[in-house]
Amino acid sequence: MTVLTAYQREKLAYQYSIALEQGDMDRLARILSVAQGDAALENMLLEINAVLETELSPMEMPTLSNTNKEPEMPVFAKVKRKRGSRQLSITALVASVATILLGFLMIAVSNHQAFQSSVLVNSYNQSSLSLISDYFSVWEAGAFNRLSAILTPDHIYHEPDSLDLDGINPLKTHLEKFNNLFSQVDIMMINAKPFADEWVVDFQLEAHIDNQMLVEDASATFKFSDGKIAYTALSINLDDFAHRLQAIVEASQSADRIPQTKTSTSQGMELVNAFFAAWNNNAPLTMDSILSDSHTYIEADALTSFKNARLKERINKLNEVLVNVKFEILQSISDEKSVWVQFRLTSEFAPSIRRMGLPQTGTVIFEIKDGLINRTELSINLDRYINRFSNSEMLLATPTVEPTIPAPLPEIPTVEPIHFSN
Amino acid sequence: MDENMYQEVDNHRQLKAYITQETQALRNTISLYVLKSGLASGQSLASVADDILNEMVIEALNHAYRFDPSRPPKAWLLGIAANLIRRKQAKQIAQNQREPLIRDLYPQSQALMSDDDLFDQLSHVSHSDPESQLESDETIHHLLSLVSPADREVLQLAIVEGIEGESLARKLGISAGAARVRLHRAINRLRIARQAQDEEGDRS
Repeated sequence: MTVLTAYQREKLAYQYSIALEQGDMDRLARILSVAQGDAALENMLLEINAVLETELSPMEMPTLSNTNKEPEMPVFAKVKRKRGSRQLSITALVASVATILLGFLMIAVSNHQAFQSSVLVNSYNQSSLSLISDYFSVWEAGAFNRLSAILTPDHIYHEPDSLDLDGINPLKTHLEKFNNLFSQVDIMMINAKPFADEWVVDFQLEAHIDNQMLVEDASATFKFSDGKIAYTALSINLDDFAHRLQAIVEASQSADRIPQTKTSTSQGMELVNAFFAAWNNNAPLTMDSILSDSHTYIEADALTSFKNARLKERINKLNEVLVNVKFEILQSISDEKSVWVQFRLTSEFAPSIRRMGLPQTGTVIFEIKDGLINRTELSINLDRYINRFSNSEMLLATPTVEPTIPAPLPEIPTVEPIHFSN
Repeated sequence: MDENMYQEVDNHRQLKAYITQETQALRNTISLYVLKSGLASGQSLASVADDILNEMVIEALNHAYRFDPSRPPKAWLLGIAANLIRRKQAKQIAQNQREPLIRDLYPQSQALMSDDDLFDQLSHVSHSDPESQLESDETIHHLLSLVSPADREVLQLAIVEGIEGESLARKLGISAGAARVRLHRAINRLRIARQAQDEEGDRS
């Protein structure tokens, strides 16, 4: 990277001032991209900013104190919990999940409609966002005794494919059991926006167990009553999340136990690579050569499995909704009979390409038989992935027509139409 | 998990920590950008700036893998904000059927002389060799006569005496940033004055 001379810096700083005065954001962005590679120039620009900011009137400078509207700014959970590494057996995990499910069955179904009408409208104030932030902090830190200060006594908690939890104690038990499955749980709030009488928050859930981790994106809807959170709906099912992470752990453990065979590993991986390539390239017909006639395809929580013809139909259908689908293999383990793959799926939502989807990680177990894939088992449900995708589209509504990230720094820091004469 | 994903997670955390710590500073600068861009002013400024801040964070975290963690993130983040504002400017124009931007309100004549021309010319004048010194002195004298005494003072120091940066700030008794802003504004006013004079000369 070329080092800027003092003259070049002064000139760029001058151009920055002019661009700012003229509201020329295009030029401003290009100069900032040069400043990324030159700390001295960056300091100059920041000094200029500081001077110009002081010239703004107090009314023009937005602070928490002078904005009437609740700031729609990202808020991050403050606490990073680092509990000691806790080894948890598979049996214990399964037992815990079973207990949670049993708990759900014992809880009466709440009347959601009746609840909605009781929620106060227009409860947008700073305390709403603080309550949400506190809620995530409590969850992350496992300090569930504080829930009663945040939630109304008749709080309703909703997760997909589960019965709603009515009241604080069932939720406390639920979250406590979830947290206890992992050595560490981190929650990061990405974005918070008000809609009608509720707040919708995008967050990232990260959990660790046995040196394995799973990060997934999700959203939560909050409603308020009497200055507390009265309703919480998550877009993901926490039991499913726990299962997905456990699948990663199990695969990792089984890989430790089974000696790997070089030949079969190579052959299995070739098949797996071909499988993902066919999907990424929207060419399901090419799968004929890698799938056995009795091949079965299964997704998490799907009602039915798919034979080859229906699998191809499904891929075609999915690729109509999602474009630029990309399955990326993060890691893989294989033995003579199977290949375990952890993948990351990224795509864009076709109906109105507004933004890249947040990546979804998952696992696939491929069963190999007679040199062909005989069974494919996905740890995620792609319909749910699409639903989450479309929900986040609707909620974020952030039009992104073209990349907004400044281009990588060029070798020579040129900012058109500058022609350095020195 | 491969190396790249670890890096992305690290970048994500680094950006998150920085944004959390510097939220107010980022918000102030974005407010400045929004105001200068003509996108919003008055009571709507805070709201629009918050929207931009919010979108900037989403973009930054979604593209954390493109962030170079060896460098401070502020310029990178502000670059994203500037691009978002630029996009909103374009959208606003489309919606309002070509409502002029602030930059469009500047005299069209400025297009004839780029922002850089005068900067280069002044730099050349102040660093000219002894043989062309006489000519340079005349040029400078003429140029400085076009601006106000306050602008003349800062231009005299920067161009004639060659005092820059911290030294200029000390001489003026203000911060380096304030000195630069003052100098840049003086150069810009000089440019406009000179351009106006040239146009008048052409007409007569």
